Amino acid sequence: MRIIAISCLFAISFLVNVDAAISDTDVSVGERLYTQCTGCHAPDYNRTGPKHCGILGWAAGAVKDFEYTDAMVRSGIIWIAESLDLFLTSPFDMVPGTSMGFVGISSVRARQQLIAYLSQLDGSNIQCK
Amino acid sequence: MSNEVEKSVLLDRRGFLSHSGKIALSGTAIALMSGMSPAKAMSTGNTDSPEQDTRILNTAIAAEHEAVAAYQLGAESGLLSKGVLNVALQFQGHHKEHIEVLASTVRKLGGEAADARSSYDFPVHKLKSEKDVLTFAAGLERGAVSAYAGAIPLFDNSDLAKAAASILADEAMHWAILRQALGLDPVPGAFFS
Repeated sequence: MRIIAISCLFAISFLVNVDAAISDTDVSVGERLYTQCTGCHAPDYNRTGPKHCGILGWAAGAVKDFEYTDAMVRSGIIWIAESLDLFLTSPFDMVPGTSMGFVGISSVRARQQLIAYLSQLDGSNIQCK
Repeated sequence: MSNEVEKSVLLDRRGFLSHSGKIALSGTAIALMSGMSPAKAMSTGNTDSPEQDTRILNTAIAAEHEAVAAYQLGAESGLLSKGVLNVALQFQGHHKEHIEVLASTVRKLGGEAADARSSYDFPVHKLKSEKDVLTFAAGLERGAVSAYAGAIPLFDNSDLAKAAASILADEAMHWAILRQALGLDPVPGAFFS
């Protein structure tokens, strides 16, 4: 029983460590990648594009006081990792009519890293307070 | 070369709105980028190109208006020394010129150019010194370079791409000068990403 418990703890510890290592790297690299977005976006305030704090779980077109295109409002998108991945691959393909004039990110890894950064822009993030 | 001549070269009407007023198919370009075969992409009969190009240009105009407002904020902050203020106003003037050219292009495409917003949500509380203002401006300029770099591949019309690249180069020079003023390496790498 004790061996099983230790094994489980080891396994959990290993998984947590792996997860933490990947997340830390992803968030750190993702933050650098985010500079590509800063022509139009900021984490905590609306610019030419809407702010990103709290984006995960939002419906597209939901940021208060931001004027979206009809295409974005009607898109019906909920921003989760999968939809962000599709959008960042090619915004114009996913939402024809969006005003986000950005060609997209072809690297799967870079998209994952950027999404990792976006995902932690929640209420607990200092950039969002 | 005078500014007027430069604008003329950038947006040569013959190259820009010729061919019976039809702009090259940005939608087709996007279809090609998404992996569609050239034949299929061309057969989609995509007619949204002028509207799409107008949206891209208007996004750029909106960002340029923001830059003009940001430099105005910096100029009126009282935090800039005379030399820096002069440079800031010069850069602001460039952004105004960008707006003129981009807005003129949108109108030629049959669209309506984006106006400046009545107010901007700048992080004013973080601007307490000349260095803060320069850092803020450098961030905006760096972002602008990224924005143009991300938009240029969407223009199938080479004249639009050329004009946007010219503006990108100007923003990149602003960014380098501002970095220099901040005591940073003005050109931190061989490639921009």
